[in-house]
Amino acid sequence: MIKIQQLEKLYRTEEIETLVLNKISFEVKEGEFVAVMGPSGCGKSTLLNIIGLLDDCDGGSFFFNNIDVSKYNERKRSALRKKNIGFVFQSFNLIDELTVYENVELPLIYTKVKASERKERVEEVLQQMQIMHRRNHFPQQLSGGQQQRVAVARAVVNKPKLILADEPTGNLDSNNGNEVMQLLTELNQAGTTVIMVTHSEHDAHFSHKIIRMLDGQIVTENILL
Amino acid sequence: MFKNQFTILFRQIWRNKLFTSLNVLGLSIGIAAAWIIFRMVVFEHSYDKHQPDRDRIYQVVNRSESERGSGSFAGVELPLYPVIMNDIPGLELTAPMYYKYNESVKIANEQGVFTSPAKPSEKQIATSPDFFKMLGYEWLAGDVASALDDPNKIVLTEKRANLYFPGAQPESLLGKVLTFNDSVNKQISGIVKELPYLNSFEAEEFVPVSKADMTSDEWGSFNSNNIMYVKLQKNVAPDLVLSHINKIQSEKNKEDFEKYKFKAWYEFYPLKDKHFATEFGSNTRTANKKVLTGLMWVGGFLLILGCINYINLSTAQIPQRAKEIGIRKTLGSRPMNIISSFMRETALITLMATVLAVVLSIFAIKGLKDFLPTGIEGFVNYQSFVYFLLLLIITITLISGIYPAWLITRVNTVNILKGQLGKQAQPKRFNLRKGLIVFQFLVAQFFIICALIVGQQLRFTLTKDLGFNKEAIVTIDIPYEAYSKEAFKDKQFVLKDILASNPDIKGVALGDKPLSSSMLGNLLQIYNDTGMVQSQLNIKYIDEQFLSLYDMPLVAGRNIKYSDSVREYIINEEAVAKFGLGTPENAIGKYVKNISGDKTYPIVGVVKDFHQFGFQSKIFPTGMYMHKRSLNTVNIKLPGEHPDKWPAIIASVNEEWKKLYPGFDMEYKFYDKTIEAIYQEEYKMSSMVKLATGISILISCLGLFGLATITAYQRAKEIGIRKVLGASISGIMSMLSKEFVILIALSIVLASPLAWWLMNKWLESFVFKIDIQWWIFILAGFIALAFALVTVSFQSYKAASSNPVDSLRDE
Repeated sequence: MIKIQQLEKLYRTEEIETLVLNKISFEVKEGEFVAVMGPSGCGKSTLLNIIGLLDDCDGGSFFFNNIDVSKYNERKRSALRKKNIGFVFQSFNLIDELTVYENVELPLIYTKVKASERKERVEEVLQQMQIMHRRNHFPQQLSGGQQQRVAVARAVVNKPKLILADEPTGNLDSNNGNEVMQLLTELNQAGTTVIMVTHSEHDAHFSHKIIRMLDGQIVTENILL
Repeated sequence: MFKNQFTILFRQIWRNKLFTSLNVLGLSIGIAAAWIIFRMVVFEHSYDKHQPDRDRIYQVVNRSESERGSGSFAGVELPLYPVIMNDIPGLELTAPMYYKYNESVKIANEQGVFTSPAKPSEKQIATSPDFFKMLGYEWLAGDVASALDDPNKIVLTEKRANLYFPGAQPESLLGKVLTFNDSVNKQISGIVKELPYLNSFEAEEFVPVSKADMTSDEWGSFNSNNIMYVKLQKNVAPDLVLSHINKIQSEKNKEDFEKYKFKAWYEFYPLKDKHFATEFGSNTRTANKKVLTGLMWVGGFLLILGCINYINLSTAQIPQRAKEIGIRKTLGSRPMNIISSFMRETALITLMATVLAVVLSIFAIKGLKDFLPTGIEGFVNYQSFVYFLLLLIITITLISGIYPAWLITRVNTVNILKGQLGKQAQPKRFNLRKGLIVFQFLVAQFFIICALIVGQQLRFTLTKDLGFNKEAIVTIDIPYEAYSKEAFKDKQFVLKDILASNPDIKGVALGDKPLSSSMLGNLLQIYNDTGMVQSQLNIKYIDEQFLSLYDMPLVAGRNIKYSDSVREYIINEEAVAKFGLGTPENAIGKYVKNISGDKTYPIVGVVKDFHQFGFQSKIFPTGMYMHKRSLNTVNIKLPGEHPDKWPAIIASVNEEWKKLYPGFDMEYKFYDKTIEAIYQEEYKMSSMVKLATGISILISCLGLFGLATITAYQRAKEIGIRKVLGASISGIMSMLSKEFVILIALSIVLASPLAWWLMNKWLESFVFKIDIQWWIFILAGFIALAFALVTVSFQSYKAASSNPVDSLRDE
């Protein structure tokens, strides 16, 4: 599903250039659950942003479903992203001014799903995430675990082929963290590809493959069975 | 401590360069407007303020009543002065001011050669010693007792004397001779210093009242060149003195008043209000109090707009500053400390804005010369200026600073340090900041509507069919000094014939301009089917070419024929109606009779109604006839399709003029420009409204720009999330703009009825006016929206096109 070859990313400030990703190559197959690990600043999040089509790369190639998307412009990336990719963030990134229901509905609005179908799908996914009773609350009124469940609901409501999770349990206690990991595992078992950046060995062991990074390069790739 | 506070203050201001400059700019525009308007107000109110005993000084004005309505007039009857100068109890001083006209003034040098160092003054008055006593002139040479005791004496002001004899000592000028109109010698008998304060008395040359004026018995004749002031004795009631004067006046005019169903009487107009008496403004500058009040409102509003900007920008910035405040609070700062530190910041910004405003106003005063009273540039009143600026700074600081300062102290320390700030559980709350934006745009919207309507009325005024064609016509008024002399008698007919033979000139006619500010009324009688009707007609003297030159169509009958004396009349449709003649056809062949004469004249034609006084006034019943002696305006029709030929034609007319009227300058005017000049007040108003509109839009947009910046900043994360979820740039932009659009729509709804009401009132002063159309409000709304969207879109585009990765980064 994802094929990355010799991928490079540079950050420039006035004085120095930093190679954040240094000729990275790897592959993720459809239905895989991959964890990316490494110390802060090693480039994991940058990698995730590029895979998520939020950021572009400065070298190498990136195939998404066998199409080279590394030269895609913002508009094309956005179109591809909103149909295929769901995001889960460490700090949930829910919109405070919208209710739980409205937050989850948002991706469907942007993909122009009809109102009647939207209602059906949002309710279905809220049921699935066991957060239906909170549908009219605002994010600030929920616990961290509940907020992350909403974020996951929002990520999957569009039935994406790929879920990208950036330290999804980072802001949660272990109970809530486990719940979220359970959710991701279930989604993966249902066929969704998951790529997750994490610091937690515990969380990483929910995956099939662990990619370890250091200073912009992949150090090891472990296949877990 | 103090130094530390100031360092922090400057750093604070410097770090927020964008907001500091938006604040300073917004405030300074408001302050500059308020400052200029304040100077105008002080300037206008300073007139005659320092005049000693001004509570006892009055101008004698007359009011009248007739069938045509009531009138006010500054002129007095010539016989009044000799009658009241001695006989009226309660009068301390009586000062006539009869303005005198001179064609030339010359001075003979030692060799007896005449030179004219200056044009004759338009401010020469015939007066009495009482005039100098009343105003308290300082005499640099000569004395009040003897200066005007001989008809051949003249007193000059110091400035005027300097014009005739540059650099000469006042004493040395006594006895020098000025020769007026090549024949009248006047000997300088005194030099007075100009009054050292702003005043309503502009005269610069003074001569005694002539014997002819002293012995005139022309009761019933008022001329605005003949005015009079009196000073009452102490503790005398003005009404008592007036009753004496009016008793004499009404007795003298008894017969005429009855005959013409006319009544006139005198009133005293207090000097302290004189400067604002626009109806008595002949020969002196007056100011319109209504305009001043209007300007004060405008100034106030612009100032408030500036303050609102400040409040908006500062409150919007609180989230960004909350961390600093939270830390300060944690370290033990009391609310009072935080408030005072914020107030200091406000004061500093206001001070910067004031400095900028004073600089701006210097340029503005130069640029707005046409709209400001002459002399204001050099007018200073340090005391009131300093007080005003201090008051302004303090008021603005308080108005703008208190609310944001108070809001800052309410910030919850724990929340801030946890990084939760400004997060509202209930979305889309209508807060003060939004209310203020609505108010700002309400003001801007109001001005936009006014500007559109005033502009529309002005265009209507200038383009509406006046009932005649004003294009490509040049008019030349023959000076009174020329046509009143036997030597120039009938020369205008010679000029007309010569010009008529010029193939480039489309037509020449003699006669009064169809639309002008002057009016000549005549009471006429007519016998219609039911009996005698009497009516006042506005009279226009014309010749047989006049109607065709101005494309004025006859609706019945024929044009007048050339004649040496009055033979026949043309009247307008309004006169047909006024005389009760039914149809225009029916009017033909009827006879009119002048009430004071025996002769009757047939009506031979009826001309279509045309405007005589602009659109403020109705169309008067009018009579037109040929009266050779009174045809003193030459109307020349130029080839409209060849404007390139006009200069040459005018030059050739001037050649002929010089031959016929040697010694007189030909003063020609394009008639369409003359008509435009009649609407000068409306033009000025239109320009002022446009200016106020521009300024209010500018200030409002500055504020909006700041708010949009802050909104984009505060919503950066939300924008990032939405983009990740698939929102497009245009989608984000419209989301960000939507909020402002709603606010502006609200301001449009509020401003429209207000503007409609006020503009309706303004339009009431026009008899002929536009109807206020609904689309004006839509258009005004679009204009405001367009400005707002352009302002907001700059920031929202920046926010919408930013990379969401930046705003969503967790570390």
